[in-house]
Amino acid sequence: MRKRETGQGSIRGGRRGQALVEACIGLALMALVWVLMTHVCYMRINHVRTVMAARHAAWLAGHKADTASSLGNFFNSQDAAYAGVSSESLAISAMGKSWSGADASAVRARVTFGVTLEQLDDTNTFPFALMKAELPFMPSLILTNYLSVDSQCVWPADVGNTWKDKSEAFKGVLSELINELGGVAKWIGSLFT
Amino acid sequence: MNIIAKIKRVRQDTGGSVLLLSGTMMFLVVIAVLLNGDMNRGVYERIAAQNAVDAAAETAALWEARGCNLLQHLNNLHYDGNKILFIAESASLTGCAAAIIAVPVAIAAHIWPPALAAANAAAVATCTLCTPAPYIDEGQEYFATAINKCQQLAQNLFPLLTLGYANSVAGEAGADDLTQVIPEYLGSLMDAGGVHWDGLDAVSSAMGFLPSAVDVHAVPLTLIGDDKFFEFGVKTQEGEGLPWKTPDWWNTMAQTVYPAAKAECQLPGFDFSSIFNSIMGDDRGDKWGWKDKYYRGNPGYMTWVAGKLTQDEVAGLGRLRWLYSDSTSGIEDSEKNHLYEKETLNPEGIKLKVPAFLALASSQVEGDPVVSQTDNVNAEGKIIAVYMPLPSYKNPTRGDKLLIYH
Repeated sequence: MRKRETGQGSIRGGRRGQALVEACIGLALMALVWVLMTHVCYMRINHVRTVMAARHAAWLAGHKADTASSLGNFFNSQDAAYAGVSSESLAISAMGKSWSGADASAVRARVTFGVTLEQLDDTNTFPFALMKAELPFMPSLILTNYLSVDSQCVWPADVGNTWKDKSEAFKGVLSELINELGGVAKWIGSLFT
Repeated sequence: MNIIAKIKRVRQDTGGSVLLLSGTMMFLVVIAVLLNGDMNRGVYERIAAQNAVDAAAETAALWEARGCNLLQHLNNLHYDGNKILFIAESASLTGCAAAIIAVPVAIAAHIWPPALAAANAAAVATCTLCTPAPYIDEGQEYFATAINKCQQLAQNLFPLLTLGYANSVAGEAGADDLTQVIPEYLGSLMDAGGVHWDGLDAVSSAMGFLPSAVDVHAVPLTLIGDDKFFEFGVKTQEGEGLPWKTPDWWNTMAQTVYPAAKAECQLPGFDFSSIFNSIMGDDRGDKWGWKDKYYRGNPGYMTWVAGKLTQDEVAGLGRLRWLYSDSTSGIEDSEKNHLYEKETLNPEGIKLKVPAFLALASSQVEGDPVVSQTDNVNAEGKIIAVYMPLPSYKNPTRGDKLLIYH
């Protein structure tokens, strides 16, 4: 049987359709890069949103208001479902050293956007526990590192309590005295360690 | 096939050109996205610096307000205490005035025994009422001194608490060490202005030797007081009128009435003189009465500064020199520093960085300032529009436009 000839050689060595194949591969790669880069941009933009939201949440927490309400102001309505806010008390003194015995003098708010470890533990909502699956050689936690961003901000606690009441003032002075004595003791201790 | 033919064939070969084009496009997309990432990083750092300084300003305002309210509570306590003591001492001195009459009557009653018991009772009652007068007067002196000492302590301590807490909160909120931020920031400012000063290196090193026991994250640009660093802006004021100051006629009356009553109550002819001889206090002479001070004033506004250090750019983009215009590009220096700053201290060449940021925030205490007495203690700290502590901003107004370099 006679070989089917082409202008440039055999079928295996032929280049008919090569541009199409290259275009397919190139477009696929470009699509992949595009998706990855879009994700990167998306997460970076939301990272900036988290730092703004964290400030607002910390401010709300400092004024003893509900911090959850801050998310809707900074994320698009659909994205807000993937944003979470948490707050914790922070015991600090004017010396800058935390003192466990003191009343919380500051509050820390943390805003997370994306898939978090807490969500991975939840089997009811997306992305389900399946996201906890680890590929061989895949370091743990790396998935959430890629899929979530977070920011935190600290605000003075109980901003509204400016000791307008006499009892609050004297209680505050006593608490502050204990706090600072503890802070000084800890600071002195830190000089020797 | 000779070499020339091979080269000719390669030149004519169009295979892989689409992939090459795709690869180039992907590379450009990646670079664009990485640049975008750097820009995001800059925006993020700028916001983080502002968050930290806002938190510092509100903390400062909170502790200033607390200091004001504490001083006001102590003013009120002083005021109320003085009021009660004035009434008590006036009553006691009235007893003294009555004793001046009652004791001679009791002595005279020995002539007519039926009246002796009643006269003695009246004399004992008035002398007893008179007895505490000098003790009350002296007690008031101790009371006023104690209150003023507490206020003086608060006046000195609260600026330190304000400074310390604002600094601590700014650090926890993400502000970097200002001793490093300021030299970096000054370097970028000078670079943008085309000024190069080798001494900046020395300044940077010197600041690095500052005591590291307490990290400096936020500092006030404003000196609160007029003449002292970080004074609270609340000062002592001489009290006018009751109950801060007893009237002159009242003091004279006390100076006259008490010694006279004491002499009468201790007269040997009075049956109970031995008792009053032992319990009546010394005459206070010209110390009768009081003229107290209270605290008055307002901390005013404060402007705080905190910052973020320079950050390395994403993925080593600084090594792509074509991204950064050098001196041959024709682009002015001032245009080059919008996103990146040149690492002037690096003699090896150009290194791009996300610049250092400084952020400002101002706060003040609102509500009634510290006054002599009020039923409504209501000082509160607020964040306000940025006021710069410059001579031209001695009397700033809201909405003043300020040039702040970032």
